[in-house]
Amino acid sequence: MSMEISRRYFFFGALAIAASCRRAPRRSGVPRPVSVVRAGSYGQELEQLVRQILLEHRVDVRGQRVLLKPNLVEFDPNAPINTHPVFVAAVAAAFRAHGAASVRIGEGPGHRRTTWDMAEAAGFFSAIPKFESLFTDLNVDDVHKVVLRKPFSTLKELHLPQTVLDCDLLVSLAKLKTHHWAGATLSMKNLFGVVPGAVYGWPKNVLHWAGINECVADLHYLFPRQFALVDGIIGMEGNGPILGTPKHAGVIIAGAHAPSVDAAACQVIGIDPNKIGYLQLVARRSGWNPSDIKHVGESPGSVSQAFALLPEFEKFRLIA
Amino acid sequence: MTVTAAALVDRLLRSQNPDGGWGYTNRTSWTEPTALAVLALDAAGAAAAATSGRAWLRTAQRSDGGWGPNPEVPVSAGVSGLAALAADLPGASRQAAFSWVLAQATPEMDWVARLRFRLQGMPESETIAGGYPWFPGTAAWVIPTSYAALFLSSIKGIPESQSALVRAQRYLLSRACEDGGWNHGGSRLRSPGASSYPETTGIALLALTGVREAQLQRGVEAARTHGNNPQSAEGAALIHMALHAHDLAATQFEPALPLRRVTDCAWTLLALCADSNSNKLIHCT
Repeated sequence: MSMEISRRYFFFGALAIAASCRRAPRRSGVPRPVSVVRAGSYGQELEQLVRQILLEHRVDVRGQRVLLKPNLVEFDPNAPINTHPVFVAAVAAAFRAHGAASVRIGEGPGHRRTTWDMAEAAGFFSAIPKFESLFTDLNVDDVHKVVLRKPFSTLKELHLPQTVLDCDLLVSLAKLKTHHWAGATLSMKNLFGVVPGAVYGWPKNVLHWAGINECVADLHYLFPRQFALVDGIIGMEGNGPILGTPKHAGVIIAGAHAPSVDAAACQVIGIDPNKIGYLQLVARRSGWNPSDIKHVGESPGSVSQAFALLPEFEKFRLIA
Repeated sequence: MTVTAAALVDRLLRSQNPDGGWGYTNRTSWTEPTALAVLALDAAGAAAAATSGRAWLRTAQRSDGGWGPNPEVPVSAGVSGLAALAADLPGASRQAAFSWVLAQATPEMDWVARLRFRLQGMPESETIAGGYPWFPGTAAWVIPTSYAALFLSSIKGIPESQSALVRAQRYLLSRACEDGGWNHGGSRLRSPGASSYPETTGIALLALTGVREAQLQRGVEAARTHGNNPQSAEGAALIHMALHAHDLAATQFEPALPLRRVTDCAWTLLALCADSNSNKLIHCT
């Protein structure tokens, strides 16, 4: 009797052990905080909202050189193409209040070469005090060669602007937009603007040939110290990043881990972050998972509004 | 106060770097602003002042015949056509530049590739070859194609240059926007309604000088429209020169927009000297 019981126990015990050995989902284990904050308009309250975000994320920039990188694409100040200059002004003021030694603004537009004229027409001169002394056209800055270690793309090196390489914290200020080739253009894709047009052209086609998603991921890994704030107060849906239509999402999405910020932003606009190519690359390399996000403030679902997508991106739609 | 050609010559010379070149921002010398400054000084009748700039360009020419964006970047790139035009090279160097530029033209697609493109919904215009890229081995775009075309049109006595020029111009015509002008030359597959820009409309029309195509009338009309709001000094200058090249600039050029960069000064000086036979952007044929 005792032999039968022990064989039975052995058999079921073995089954139980085999079941528990089934591979558990790979998790990085470290939840990345992402703030999703309601912001109804481009008003006076923005600076305080951003200061609160920086406090929540314990961003310490005392004595440091901060570079804000907005998305500046077209001359039109009314279409939701560019990161709003009032938003950029609020972020600049917030970082100064947090003790940054310097807060500069830099951008290297990919289509138009006349950056300064575009910045003026888009309202940056009037919205940001002393803009001319703070701004660097990253397309024509002095450059320095940076070797890419373990790149996802076919690129081996990039010549990057000295202003970007010299900063202590790179702050991506993307606009919340769909994108007609990548699905969405958010914090990480925004870093295409640090690649200088004077070296790589207008547009920076070498990045497209080397793989858009792969280059987005490569740029992310080049800058270990980043912060991202996405201007989702009025975003763009449809045929972004230029020809789409305004979409009032009423949010700022922010955090120190750009992939997590982008994943939350995807959820806000109704895209499955697991379908975004450059986020897949980061996940594969680091073990990060879009589920490893600690939402601070609102959850993306509570502010989510389905952005219109081009038909070829409907397969990216987030299914509730 | 209207800026004069003399004032711009002076401003360019004061912003020249000790090594003879010019930078976009008055620091490191880069190929494109140096080439533009040399072309502008030549057009203004200040060729002697351009000597050290021309020397910089000749020294910066790489062993493969092309020019990098600046001497630190070890790859010849799409600014080479403009540099070759400005450098006024002697025989072998000119031949090397011509050979390099010629080799960059995007190749014709074979029928399999064309069929694949069309089955993917790409318009016929996307399959037109003969344009020139910013970076070797990548796609063609309006500005580097225009630079190459201007250089090719300055070459006499080499049949290949004429056929390459015709292909480059055919590429430019295929990339016109719906409004008749040109932007950077992007695909219209997902941006069918994309608008043209003043500066790229201007440079494309300069490269199309002498072309007799009905389509050019729409391009010229787009240029006239841009002339009402050129958005930048570069745009204003290029539109004026383009209309002049197509015998349509009725009024004297009066620069009104801020000159923020060396290149703005150079483009503006070139436009003020549109009548000059030494202006290679207009009188290179």
